[in-house]
Amino acid sequence: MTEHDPVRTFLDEARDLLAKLEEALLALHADPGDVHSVARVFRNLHTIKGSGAMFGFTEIARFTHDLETAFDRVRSGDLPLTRELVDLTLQAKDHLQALLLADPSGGGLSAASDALLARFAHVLKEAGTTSGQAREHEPKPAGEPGDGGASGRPETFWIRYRPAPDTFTTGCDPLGLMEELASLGQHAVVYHPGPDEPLEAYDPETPHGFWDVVLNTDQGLSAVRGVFLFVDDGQAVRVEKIGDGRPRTGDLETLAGIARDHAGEPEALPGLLRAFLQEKLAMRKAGGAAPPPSAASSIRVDSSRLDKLVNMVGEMVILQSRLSQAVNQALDRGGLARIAEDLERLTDEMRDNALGLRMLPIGTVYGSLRRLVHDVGASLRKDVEFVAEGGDTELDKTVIDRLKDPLVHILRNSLDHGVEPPDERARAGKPSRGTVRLWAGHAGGEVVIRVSDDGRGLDPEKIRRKAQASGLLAPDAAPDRRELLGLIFEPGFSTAEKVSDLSGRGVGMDVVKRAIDGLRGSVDIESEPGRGTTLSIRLPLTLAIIDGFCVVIGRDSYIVPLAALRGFQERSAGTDKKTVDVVERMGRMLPCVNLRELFGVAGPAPDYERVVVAEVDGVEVGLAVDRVVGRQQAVIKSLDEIYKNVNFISGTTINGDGSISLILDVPRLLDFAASRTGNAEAPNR
Amino acid sequence: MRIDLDGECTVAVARVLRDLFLDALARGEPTQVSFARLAGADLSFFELLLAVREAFARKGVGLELVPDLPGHLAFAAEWTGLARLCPEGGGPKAAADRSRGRTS
Repeated sequence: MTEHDPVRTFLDEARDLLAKLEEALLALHADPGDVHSVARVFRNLHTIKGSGAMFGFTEIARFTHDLETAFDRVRSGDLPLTRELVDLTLQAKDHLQALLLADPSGGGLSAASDALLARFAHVLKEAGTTSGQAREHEPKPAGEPGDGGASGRPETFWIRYRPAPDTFTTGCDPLGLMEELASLGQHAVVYHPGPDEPLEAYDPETPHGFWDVVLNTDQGLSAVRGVFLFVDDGQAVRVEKIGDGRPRTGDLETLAGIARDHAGEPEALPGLLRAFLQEKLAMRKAGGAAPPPSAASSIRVDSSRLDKLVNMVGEMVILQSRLSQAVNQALDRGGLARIAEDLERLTDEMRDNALGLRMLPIGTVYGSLRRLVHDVGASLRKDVEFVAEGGDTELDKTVIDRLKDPLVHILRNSLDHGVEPPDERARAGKPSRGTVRLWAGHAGGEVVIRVSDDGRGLDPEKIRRKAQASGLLAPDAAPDRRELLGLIFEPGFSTAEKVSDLSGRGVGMDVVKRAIDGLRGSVDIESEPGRGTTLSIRLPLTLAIIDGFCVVIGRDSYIVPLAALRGFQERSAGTDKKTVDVVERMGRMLPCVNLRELFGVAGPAPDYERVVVAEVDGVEVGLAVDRVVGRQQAVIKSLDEIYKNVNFISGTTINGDGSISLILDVPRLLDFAASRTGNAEAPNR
Repeated sequence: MRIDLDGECTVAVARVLRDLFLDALARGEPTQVSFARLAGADLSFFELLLAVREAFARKGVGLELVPDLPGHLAFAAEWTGLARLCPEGGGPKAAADRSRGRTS
């Protein structure tokens, strides 16, 4: 496939549509009376079917047709929406996902399609017998286009009518029907004569041709169908809505022309007509008034292009840095300085723009997580409400992609080990329905994601016993509560007493931690026995570039992320140096990490050292260095695999003179300082 | 040869009409068909006309369909691709357009 392959575009769009479909279905699962979600399900199915047919995915078009019909009936209140139907449609969505990967004709999946369709037919049949007797609800969105009744709003339909062979003998008058149809609104028609045959063999007593009609009407679908009430045997008539609004006069003729040219492709035709109409309406909309500012626009950009752009910006940042240095050596300093200023401004703009391109709302993964909670909850027979908040919080696309698996692990653990079964919750005086909450938001230049549940929580004593039994904790060790809870992130640690297919195999939380570490993030856990557990993940906004402040220790330079920087102090270096001591700041004593000691930097220390005050999550820490240099944009280069175990460093960056600076991992330094305050023992590097 | 059709040209007489045109075709003479005196016609008639037109063209025999179709049959002619049967100027056609909101 080429970069601009329309099939790839279709596949991308279909995946988006399936995600939206799933989201709407899960919303219906929570609230079966949500008429807007019913309409969303129908629209998504409708579009998937139409575009699938247009791009030759015949199996997708075939399979989706019955689903669309079912939800059309639900929309019109003709069919009750049962939980069984929602669950089955969720399975159908998964099947459609598989069909996207298969041969367009369905490959070996046609049998699976048929099996699912048979189940649909069964559900519809069952529902049909109870319809009108015990409907769970009767959604009927007000004014929803194509809802069967007269919508009062103009809609455009494509109608194909092929009179049945016995039409004339039954007394039917096809031209009369066409005249009635024409009376419903503006229209354009194309008549397709029958195949050529010798006049001697021509049978004048059976119909030969058929019609394609494009009709714009405000009478609604039922009026259109009503025309063919007595001739529609399921084969003779096909009606498809192809758009909303009132197309221009010439548009209907063009649509009829498309119908003429693609008469032999009835499956593809509605999609073609729909696409033409949408394009026309979009063009007119684009040429009209500006969209309201609240309307979010989005663009699909190839992520490899984005990566390239971000790399280029990175190089430009380096170039700017070099130019700034050159200013100091040039004769025409004024001119060079202006260039450097301009370049700096441009670089800042480019950086912000380029990084903005990669930013996606984290809500883009909420749909699949909601589905996960639904499925896992059902398999565990646990009633769980999934509350997702802060979906508009933006994160780098790469971060989001790499965040999915850890979030899945965390949610599975919450469902499997956190949230109790309904009877256990009842005994504990809790509501039978558990809650798993996912929250995302910004804090201190980072993105924080919290996953909490109101389940049974973690028992620190149990963790201690397990850790001692497995050798992770010395028998005489006295870890505090936070350290005890942190043991669940150790490889091979699990408090689960039995292994399920979801979790409890001793893998999971260490994998989560590794994944978050790989994103230059951190993960923390809080838990109250009987009340629940909260996992907090902190992540950088982007993996590419940060604003930093350059500091020097010995001959090496380091970067402190600017978002964490709170101030500077100076103090006498002294002779009795501990790796971690304390520093006074505005009447408070802060732990202070002596980085020269921590990193084992050789060479003479200055008489006076600078203390960089940094803050993470409201907690401050001092970082003692030889001197401070100034602000610097840091284009982050990941540490190579062999350096991955180097502590307190989250990455490297290239300086203007080509040298390397190490980026300090401030949260880890803070954790280290907090645990070692008053202890001069240096950790292993 | 000239054929003046009159009365009801419906499926009831469709075979008779087909044989009439077959005879005309067999004679190989240029044929002119007038519709001015038609009282009524259904789909079978217009489809037959299409088949006849093709058959004459295939054999290279001249066939003139006179554009004198009565106005009340204009809709049927248009919807079967035979709008040329309507008189020039589109009297009935225009009337039909006006009454039905047609776009073309």
